[in-house]
Amino acid sequence: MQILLKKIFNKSKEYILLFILLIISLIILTFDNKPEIKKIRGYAFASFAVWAELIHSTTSTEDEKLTALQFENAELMLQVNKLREFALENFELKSLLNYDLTSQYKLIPTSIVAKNISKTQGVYIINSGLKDSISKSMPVLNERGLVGIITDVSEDYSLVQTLRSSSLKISATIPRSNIHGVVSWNGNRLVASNVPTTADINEGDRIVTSILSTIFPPSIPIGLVVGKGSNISGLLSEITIQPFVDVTTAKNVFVLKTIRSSQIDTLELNMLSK
Amino acid sequence: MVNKIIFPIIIVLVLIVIQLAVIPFLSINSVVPNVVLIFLILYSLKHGQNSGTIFAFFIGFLYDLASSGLLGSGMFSFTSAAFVAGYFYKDDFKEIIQNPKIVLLLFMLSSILFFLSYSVLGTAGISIESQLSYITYSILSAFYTSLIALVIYLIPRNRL
Repeated sequence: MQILLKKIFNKSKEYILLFILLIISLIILTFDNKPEIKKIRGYAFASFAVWAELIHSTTSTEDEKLTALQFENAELMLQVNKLREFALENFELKSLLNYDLTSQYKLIPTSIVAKNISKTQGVYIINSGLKDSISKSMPVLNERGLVGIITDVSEDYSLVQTLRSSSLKISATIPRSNIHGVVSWNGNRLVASNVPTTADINEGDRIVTSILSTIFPPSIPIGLVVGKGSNISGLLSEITIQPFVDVTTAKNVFVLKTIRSSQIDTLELNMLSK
Repeated sequence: MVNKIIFPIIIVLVLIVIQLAVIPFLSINSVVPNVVLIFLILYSLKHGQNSGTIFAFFIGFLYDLASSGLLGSGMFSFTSAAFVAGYFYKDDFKEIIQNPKIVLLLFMLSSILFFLSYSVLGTAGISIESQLSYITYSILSAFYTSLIALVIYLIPRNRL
């Protein structure tokens, strides 16, 4: 019996080894959201980013003039979107226009030093961190629109979860019809799921970040509606969105310096404690 | 020890940096080759199935940490790809490497498995409709990776 078991083991030891290693991988996969793992990852990405930036700086040929123009374009894009919002508002609110136009967007220019873009995982490492007053949850954009959100920050580098990350959910709206929904990457395309079929949505509608979002400031462009399909029951639709930004080709991005309202934070905490 | 573990680890660390800092800029319609995978397949072919599988497992861990991807997804994918590549192991490394058909086939097989599992494990839920696109993406990425591998494979032959 012992000899037989030994024979079986010797014959299939490669499979046993593979099985054990794959099981360990799957177990580790379930621990991904643990704070300890996040801490280890934070240290790892910060030390790795130094080398990635070194390689990136030697291989990239960046034009300073182009970067400056992209920065200006990003600022203008935000202003244009704000103006577009105003155009849709009631004439009575026009008196507020002067006030809002004076408010300036603080953009922090930064470069992508590393990317991990797969079918479902879209992550950037950018060369700005705590020293540039970047903090978690700040939106990242370029001159075309929203790119993602800061999820981790070290002294010199930050981690960005892009629109192509299946775990990123964005509260969005269609300004024309004021329909709200949650936009996410389904591994294949950017979609807004569970939208009522009767909702007034047409192909070509612009999708921007919603005023309901406590993370993203309102009116940052996300993309255009390119398709609408209903589920089996026919009650809910899935809206397909063509993002303005191609995250796979983006090189320079900007972090929008936002300061979270302490009042919103307090309200959220109060709601959670109830 | 140096040739089998330390030297390959140094090479892989350099390749991980290149993979994440330079290779994404070579993407064609979101399809990106994986140079770390190419090295791991060659390692598996040279050192055998068991050594290749274990080595790929630890490199997958480093890759997940460096790329800030889901911890475990790279480990799973690299391990399974190296295992498949290890099937083609022969005592004489030159015997396999001199057969371009086998080289191409094993690169395609291992790469498809890698990209498919890396994509599937990276998402919370997959719709039936998405599955087909995952397969298409994996085949295209595997093809791109195999093409890069083929270029690497051909360069020394031409020099000879």
